[in-house]
Amino acid sequence: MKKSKGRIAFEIINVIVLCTLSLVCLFPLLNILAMSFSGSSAVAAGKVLLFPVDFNLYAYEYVIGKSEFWKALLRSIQRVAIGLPLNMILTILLAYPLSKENSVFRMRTIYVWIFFFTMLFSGGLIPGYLLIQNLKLMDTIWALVLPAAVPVYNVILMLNFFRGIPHELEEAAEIDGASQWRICFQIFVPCAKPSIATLMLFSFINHWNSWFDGLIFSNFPSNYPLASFLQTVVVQRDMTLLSLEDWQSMAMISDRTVRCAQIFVGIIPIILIYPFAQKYFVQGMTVGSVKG
Amino acid sequence: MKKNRLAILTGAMVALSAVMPVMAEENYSVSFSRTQDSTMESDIFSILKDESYEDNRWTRLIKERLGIDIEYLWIAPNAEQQTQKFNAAVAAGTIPDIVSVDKLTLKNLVEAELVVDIQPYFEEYASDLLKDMIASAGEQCVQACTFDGVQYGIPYVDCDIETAQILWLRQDWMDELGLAAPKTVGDLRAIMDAFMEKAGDGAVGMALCNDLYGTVMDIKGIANAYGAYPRYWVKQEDGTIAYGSTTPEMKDTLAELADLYQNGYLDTEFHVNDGTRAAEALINDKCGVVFGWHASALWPLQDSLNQNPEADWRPYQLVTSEEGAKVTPGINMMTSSWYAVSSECEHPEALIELLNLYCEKVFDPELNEYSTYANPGDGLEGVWRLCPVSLNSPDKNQQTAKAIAEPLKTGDPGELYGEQLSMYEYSKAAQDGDTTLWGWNRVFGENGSQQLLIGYQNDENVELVRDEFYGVATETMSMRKTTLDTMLDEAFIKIITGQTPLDEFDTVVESWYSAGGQDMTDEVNEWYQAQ
Amino acid sequence: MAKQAKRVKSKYTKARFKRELPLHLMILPGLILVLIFSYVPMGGLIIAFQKFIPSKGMFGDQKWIGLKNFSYVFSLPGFSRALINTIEIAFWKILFGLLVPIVFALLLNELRGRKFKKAVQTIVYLPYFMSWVVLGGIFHDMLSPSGGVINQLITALGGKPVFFLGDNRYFQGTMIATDVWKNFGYGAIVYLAAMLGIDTQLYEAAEIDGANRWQQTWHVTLPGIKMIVVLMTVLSLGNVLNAGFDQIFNMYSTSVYETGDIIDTFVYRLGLLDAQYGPATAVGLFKSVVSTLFISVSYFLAYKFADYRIF
Repeated sequence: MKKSKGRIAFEIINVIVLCTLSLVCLFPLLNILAMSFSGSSAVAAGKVLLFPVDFNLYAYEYVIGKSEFWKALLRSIQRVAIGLPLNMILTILLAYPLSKENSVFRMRTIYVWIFFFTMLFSGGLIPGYLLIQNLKLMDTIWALVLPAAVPVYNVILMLNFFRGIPHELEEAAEIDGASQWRICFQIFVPCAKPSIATLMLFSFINHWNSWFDGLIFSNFPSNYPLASFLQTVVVQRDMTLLSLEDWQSMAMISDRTVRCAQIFVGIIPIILIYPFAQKYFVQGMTVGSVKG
Repeated sequence: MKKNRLAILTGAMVALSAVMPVMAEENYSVSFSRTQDSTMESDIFSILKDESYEDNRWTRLIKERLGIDIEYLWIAPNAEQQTQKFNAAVAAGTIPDIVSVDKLTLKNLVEAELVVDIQPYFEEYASDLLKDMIASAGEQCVQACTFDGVQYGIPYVDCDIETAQILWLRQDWMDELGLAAPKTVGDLRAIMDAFMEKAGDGAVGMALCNDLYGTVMDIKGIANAYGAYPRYWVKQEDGTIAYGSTTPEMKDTLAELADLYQNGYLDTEFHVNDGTRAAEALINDKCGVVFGWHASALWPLQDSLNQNPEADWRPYQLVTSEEGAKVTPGINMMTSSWYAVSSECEHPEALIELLNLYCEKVFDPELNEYSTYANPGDGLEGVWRLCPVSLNSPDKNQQTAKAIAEPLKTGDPGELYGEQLSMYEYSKAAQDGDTTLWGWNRVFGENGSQQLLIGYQNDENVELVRDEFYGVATETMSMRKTTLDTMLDEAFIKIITGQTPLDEFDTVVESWYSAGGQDMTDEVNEWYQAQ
Repeated sequence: MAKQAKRVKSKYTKARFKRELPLHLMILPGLILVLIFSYVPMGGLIIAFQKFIPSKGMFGDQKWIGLKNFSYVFSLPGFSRALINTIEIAFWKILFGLLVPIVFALLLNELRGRKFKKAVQTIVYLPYFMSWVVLGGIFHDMLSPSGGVINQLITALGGKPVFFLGDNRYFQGTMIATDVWKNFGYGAIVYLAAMLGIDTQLYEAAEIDGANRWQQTWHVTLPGIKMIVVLMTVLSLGNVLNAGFDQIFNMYSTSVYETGDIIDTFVYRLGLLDAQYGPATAVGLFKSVVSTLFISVSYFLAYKFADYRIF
């Protein structure tokens, strides 16, 4: 079949448009990356676009030399290491029973509403703060992990995915005398791999990117996770966390290049993990949220 | 044998000292909160590696002398976080044992029943030195923290005249370009033109930052030139009190600022730049004009010297809008914070004892431990800030300036001691060419800001305008002042940056009055009549 | 007889309970956590109706003042402005957040090369996963009128620098554009999936009828994803009061409160910076109630028109 001229023109334009869109999405990141490797005068003069000018690693050396940065990074890793498994276990444990029909599990609707309601109403900051304080969780990793332990949105996605699993499998297992626990973990969970991969990514991103709770539930900046640390340094442009010393006078480094380096280090884990999860999440997302 | 006995003796001493704190029964902890401070990082912790906010010479001294452990409930990275943490703690009813708060917050704490009547403790525990210092600041500071006859706070006494604004100019540029001291806003513009031409690309006429009413790089200096006193309660011709941000003079000020912005004298981003960023122009030789208070020489101007040792700044009297008019700087009650003690605190007297100790170490002429606990020198500055409480004295700095004037000329410190001696030594070193101490000399030495302030008080051509309101925050103030101020600030910024026409001022003032400003004004006038 | 029936019934109930017990046990840990960390703080909403005095404690003997906190907040000049801003920003975000992904999905769907398609997808999904803290930092830098890349481009083209984040004329537009930028790629996933699901025979039939690609798109692709579009539109209604706290908070400043202050930032300042706990809680509650109304309506419509059941 031969393509018409109009069609060819369209395809060319289409490719150009999509390339431009991709570039628009990527440009800010590349720009930051390039600036983090550039000399401060080149950055100040606006000479840096996609490639570093006066290539150097001083900004990274500076960031790596800061114990505050490492502490914050460690805190974030800790948070993910505890928060992610907790999220996933709770999501599966909740989604499985809630995916049953009312005839099988009578309390289902009540439970679903109990959980769904928390998406609509919340007590707000002050009562939350009070609770964490009374439970003596301030400055602990649990203050960051426990309040977000039940990701209701993820539970709903998972629940819908479980519903799509053929009943025959379940019935056959029940006849074989399998317990609910076994059905859940040996039949449903393996079937839901794409969904689980997707939700793991969501949960990871959520923990990695959360900054507000870190600010509220930490009394000392040394307990900030990376996102909160970046919020004070990058957005509030607060340089007290990084003592000024003499780097202002150094020619190759400025607060701007340091900021860029920090931003970039902060998103490296996302860039590393996300392509692996990507092959699952198209499937995981669509089956879960929208059934057409 | 002898050795042995010594060992036994030391052993006994160790044992004794281990028992001592228990025996004293005085051992307890007192909690505070604080904000991190970048200048402390650079001036103190980078030099004193074994000291930190929580463990330093002051906390050790306090532990040893008073048996008090200093604890921080939280340490905030910046002012906004501090406010946020503090308000969350207030809501939870768990404020630190000792807090330092402004007038509005104190009222909230009193209403929330979170602080104690401090008067009896003050009477019982305060040393004579402390009592003298508080008394020297005048009745007003105490009145401002007294609610229905109960005194809830100890004023952080400070010096009123030091709130007066000063114009700081790059003297080396003035000399080089052969410019004379400016009298009017027009003169100042001419200077800015000349400076900007000299500074070249990226030059800024006048440095301003997002803190419009701060101590430096703020708009008060230019406002005073037009007879406007934003955020003050000023006396009008008819004898009533009006809010300075809403007077017609304020409109003139905004007109001038908008014109400056329009014509490129101001940084286009000034309203989002914090002090550190706004100061970059001053530090990098891009700007030679800034309004600020007396201590501007120490920050940010000292940084300008650090970058470029050739730089020199001098303080000048404020300019006026018209030729031959009187110079009219505004001054307010410098005491803007009060120490209060939480009602949960088991030892309210701790505050007084800490203040006693502070006065002793920093102000007591006989002990002369100023250089250990306040300003050791050699780049190590302001270690007094390590103490969780501190005080200033209303006329300390002027006394110092007067006392060292003569010795600086002769080079003989004579009988000077303590802070005065330190300031003499700093200023002397600066005079002799040490640019790292330049700032101290510009505050205390010849041609320094303290001398200029003395001039403000004595010069017939200068008329100081006072903020007339010093009572406790009124009902409407505690409810609405923050919101109302934000409303005005927003409009001011929009007018200055040319986003809205000048006449927007009248509209916003009108809505200010109707949204609670009228009530506030009435309350203030009622208070004023009662005085 | 009746006794026997009862016994049978109780036996039946017992058996049923035994069968359901594991399901209850599975729910228990999550339920406990939600009760502690969501429902207990929700009790704090009562201070919306109180003159809250902290020393008396959250559930202490506070003075009830009915709806006074609400009427006080509604009288504040900043509130109605924040409400209007919220709705404006949310409206445009919803609109473009629907249109742009659809157009993008259509374009991507026309692409032949698999690898290229994959690469484009990988790139455009990426911003969705970055936090507004990081993006706020990046945009602060890029959009700065002095030295930001975008403004350098504008000046190079002969324009005047634009203060995107500090000028009320541009702030809302900037928020909407950056939000669409962040989310459009990810938002396209559902449409792409729906397009993949369209029966290829339909295209073949259309081609036999002589329809060109454009007509095929119009008559086959769009009708094929119609239900999804309706569904997404309806569901997004629930977001009318969500203008995006994370984004705005990390990008706004006093000078753009006029166009950029939204309910969530307003509540934050009122509660945590101005210490007006009762009124702040009242606004939060107001927002929750209105949002719940919208969400209920949207789910009802989704159920009615798209036969969509959320759980």
